[in-house]
Amino acid sequence: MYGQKPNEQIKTLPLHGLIKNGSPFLGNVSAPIAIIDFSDFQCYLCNRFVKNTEPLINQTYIQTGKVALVFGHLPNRGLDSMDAALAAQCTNDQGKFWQFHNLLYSNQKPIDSGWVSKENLKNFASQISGLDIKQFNTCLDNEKYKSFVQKDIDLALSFGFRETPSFIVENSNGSNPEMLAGALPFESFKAVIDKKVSAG
Amino acid sequence: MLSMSERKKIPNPSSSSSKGQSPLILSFEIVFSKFVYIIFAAVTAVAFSIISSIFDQLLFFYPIIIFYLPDDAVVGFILANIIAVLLGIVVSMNIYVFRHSKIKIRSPSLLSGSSLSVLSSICVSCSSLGFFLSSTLGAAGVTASAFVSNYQTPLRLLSIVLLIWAYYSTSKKLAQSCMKSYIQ
Repeated sequence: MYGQKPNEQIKTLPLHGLIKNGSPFLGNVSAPIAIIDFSDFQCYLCNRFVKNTEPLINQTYIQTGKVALVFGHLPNRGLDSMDAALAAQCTNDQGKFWQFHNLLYSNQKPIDSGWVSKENLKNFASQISGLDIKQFNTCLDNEKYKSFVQKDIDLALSFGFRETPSFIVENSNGSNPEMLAGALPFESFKAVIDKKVSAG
Repeated sequence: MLSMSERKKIPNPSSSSSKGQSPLILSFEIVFSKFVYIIFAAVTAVAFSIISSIFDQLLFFYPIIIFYLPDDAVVGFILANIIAVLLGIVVSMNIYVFRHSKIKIRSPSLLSGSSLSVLSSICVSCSSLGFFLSSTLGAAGVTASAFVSNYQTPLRLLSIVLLIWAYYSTSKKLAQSCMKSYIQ
């Protein structure tokens, strides 16, 4: 399914709660609208979103303080996807999530081809300036965020998301959520965001 | 067996104009001299093209209806449309054969070609299938869906080869069938 209306059983996901729980986010904490993006670093449609749509959302809505983008993990594309998610969440400990996120997507290779093996993830992390690699390696080796990532997966599944990327666009207090599935173009997000902005 | 009226419409395979003409072209002319088969082919091709664009996440109906073609999807889009056109031609020719000839054309490549086309398109967006496979088959399912996702372009090329093969074998047998009918 490539677009769906929320059902009545959907729980609310306020922006401040997601941030407090440790979800990586981009933009202003007090932005009136939040986009929660459930993605997998091995998913090439997620890469399509990151390359084509996200920069336009960033430029138009995030930089202007209207939208905050929250990253949710849904590593279901391959066997190595979980390690990539764990590694990314480890970089968030040190405020380097988005650098690592962009680095992985710009180096994306075929699913489970070894490009996000633990060794390669450590190599990618070592390319990020200012990242304490020792702390990162310990975090990744100990699978510190396994339960955190699993909670993200459970959350995505509870919303009925089975594919990546999938999105929830909502008011930042968690109200009026709208679910979108697929690597949608900017115009699709614009339609939803502008509608929410004009609704106040 | 062709009816007398249909025999009159089709080119004489042994006539001077048809002599030396490839059975591929001859059978194409026979089938698509009738408007209804052009319609069959067009409907099949357009339907497949739309379905593959949906699965390739190029065509969206929600929240707005929009088609967009990012750079990374251009090759896949071209291959999918080549498949759509070939599928339209092959399906249409097979409908003609089944409606007009008692000779059964065994063309396994029609089935495998079109199945592979559909499968490779569906598996562009494989996470749904991947999730289904992984929940039913575990790690083996994830591996299988990853394989199909990774090899989407080769699978489409294989589909094109199989469809060309299906077209060749169908048109060859159709031309032979027409020759027999005409002689009889």
